[in-house]
Amino acid sequence: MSRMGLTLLALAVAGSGCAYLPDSPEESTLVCRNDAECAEDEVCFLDGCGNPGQHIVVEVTPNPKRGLHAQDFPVENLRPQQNLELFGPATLQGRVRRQTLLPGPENSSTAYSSPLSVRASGESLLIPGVVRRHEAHLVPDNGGFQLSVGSGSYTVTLLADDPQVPPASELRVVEPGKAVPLDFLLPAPTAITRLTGKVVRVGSALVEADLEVQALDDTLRPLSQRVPVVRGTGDFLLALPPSSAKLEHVLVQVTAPRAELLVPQKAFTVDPRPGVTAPLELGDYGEPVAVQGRVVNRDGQPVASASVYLQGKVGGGGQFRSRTVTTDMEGRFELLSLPSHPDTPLTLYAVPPPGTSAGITLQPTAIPRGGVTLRDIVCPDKVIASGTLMRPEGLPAAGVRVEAEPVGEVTGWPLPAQGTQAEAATDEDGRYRLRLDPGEYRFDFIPAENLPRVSRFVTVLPSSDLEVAPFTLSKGRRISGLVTISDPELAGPTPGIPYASIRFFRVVNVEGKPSAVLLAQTVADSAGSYTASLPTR
Amino acid sequence: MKSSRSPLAKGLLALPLRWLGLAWAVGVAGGCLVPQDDTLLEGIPERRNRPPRIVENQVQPPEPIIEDFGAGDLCELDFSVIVEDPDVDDLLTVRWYLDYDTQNPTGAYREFQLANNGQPQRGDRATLRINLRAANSPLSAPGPHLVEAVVADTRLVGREPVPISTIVLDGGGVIVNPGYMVTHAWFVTTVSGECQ
Repeated sequence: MSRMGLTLLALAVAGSGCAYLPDSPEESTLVCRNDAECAEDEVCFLDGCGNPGQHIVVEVTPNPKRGLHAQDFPVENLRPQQNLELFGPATLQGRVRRQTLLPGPENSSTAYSSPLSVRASGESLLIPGVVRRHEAHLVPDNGGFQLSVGSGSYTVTLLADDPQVPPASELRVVEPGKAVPLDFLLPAPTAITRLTGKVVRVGSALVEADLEVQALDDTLRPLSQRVPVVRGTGDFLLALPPSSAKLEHVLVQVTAPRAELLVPQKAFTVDPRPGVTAPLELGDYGEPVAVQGRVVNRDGQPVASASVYLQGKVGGGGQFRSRTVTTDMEGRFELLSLPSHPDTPLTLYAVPPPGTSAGITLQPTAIPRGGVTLRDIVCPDKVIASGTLMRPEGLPAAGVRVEAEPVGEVTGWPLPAQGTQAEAATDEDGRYRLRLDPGEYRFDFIPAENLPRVSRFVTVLPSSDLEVAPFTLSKGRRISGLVTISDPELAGPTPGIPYASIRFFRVVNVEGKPSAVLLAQTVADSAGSYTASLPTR
Repeated sequence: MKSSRSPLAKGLLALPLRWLGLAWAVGVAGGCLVPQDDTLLEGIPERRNRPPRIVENQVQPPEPIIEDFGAGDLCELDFSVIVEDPDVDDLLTVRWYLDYDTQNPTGAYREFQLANNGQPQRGDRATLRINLRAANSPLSAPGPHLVEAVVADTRLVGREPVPISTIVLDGGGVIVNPGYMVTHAWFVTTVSGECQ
């Protein structure tokens, strides 16, 4: 594209409100329950009162299957007709070369053209907490490769199919429509730090199971690929970058590749400089034993369909996690576990299904070498979180779907795995009710009619039931527009981009932490036109 | 040859023939020559249901095979589908099945109803977040897993869609207005790591 074309494009984007967010969002401290508590032109958001037209970032995902991934744009002064003009694909592109250690600068490396994977994992530049991940398995063309990605900040890792090539990582920032250069220089085979060793159970006894090993640095960044241990001998060979030869120690992690293998996971600190390690002993972790028990609620009634597993330290110092089993109609379960470490009991997790009154329980459980039948495992009641929702005009909001998504844990309790939906939409009095395990949640209120969705963060503590402060839904304003792309080669038969995904976020500081709250999400139609409902006064 | 009948006789003979011809013409024009069965419509016929569609170019993650879930800092994955249905009033549900085994069928791990926005393209989407750090994370066991999104515009029995309606005709024929179910699947391999 010519310089004039680029200038015109930049002007067009700026004109449609698609400029990069220049300032960090202001911190909001006012807590509110409805729009009436805010100033005349403000709306009561999750973070407090705020201008509904500011701090909005829109994420548009045109067509991931065609390599057109997410692009983020701040929108200043959101207007009823908000066209979204997109850039072409953003890419990471470059060459993969491998050192040869031949004399002369011209012959010091050659193109690497064997199969490999390129993985980019990172986060949006403008929308905190929106994680992005892209991956491609490819064969470089004379060393050249290209990976289409969304805009964001990424750690890019190259993993060759050849396990004797150590992984390589780079950091890159990708802006919409930009091609970001990224070259990898793999070490010569002769320069690789090789680390050989053997995994044993105790002494010369081998482990009767498939195992894998991987070398990590102190920050748990992979230094080698994950390679299998030879079943009959326990031998392994790791390929590390040349720089690893100067490290005083690396971590070598031994894991089982499948859940049914009752073998602990253990990390060893190893000096890579000699190239050979002493045998890595998993230790005397015992033989699998049967553990039986029954899960009941506070009234002693059986809890059916609860998930039960054991996790923790076992003999030899490794970490073990059993397979998860499900209780039967009488609340009974039986699972296979390794015996617990003599000094440290395992932790038993019992997780009743959503919708039941029984809640998650964790209890220290010593597992002797002969197996055990446990006493009844009593689950506490889930916390009932309820509240009232009002319509903008002050009447109760009926028929609103309420969902609670876990976003964090509270002290002493694990992160809940599963989001929970209210037993029913809000009733005619605007009341809703959810049964939740302790944790930090984002409550999403999704009206059935054309009102904007609303979210609130709620901390559920393991105490008494929780009455969430009532609050009022905001009025909605309809935003519509056309999603187009600036690159004419990518445009289709219609002027717009069909089926583009569009999400509007409010980006603010919540308790001093940059946070993004989803305000609206929609999809363009087959002609690229979209409509969305956002909060307004 | 000349007729021997008198003009009066001719007139008397022609009169009934004319009336007969007139009656025949009226009968044909009125369409009542053969009696017809009466068929009464009790209402506007139900429109035949059309299937929903998962917008394939917007499924997340776009790659159907995900390796090394749990390696490095990859401890969380969001799976999501966007759905289109020309029948804008259909109630669309998205059920997420994890490691569904036809020999030992279990229920859906999670179920969403997509909000109706009056458009074929539902703005709402079904997102399943899997975090390996969570208690009882369903994909925490190392090894391969199957994640499926099952979108239906009708009730499911097991995972089979139930017809919206069935009409039995007088002659014994049956008209079925079908319900539909469409799916999208991902294959995920979890590895032991630092997430748990």
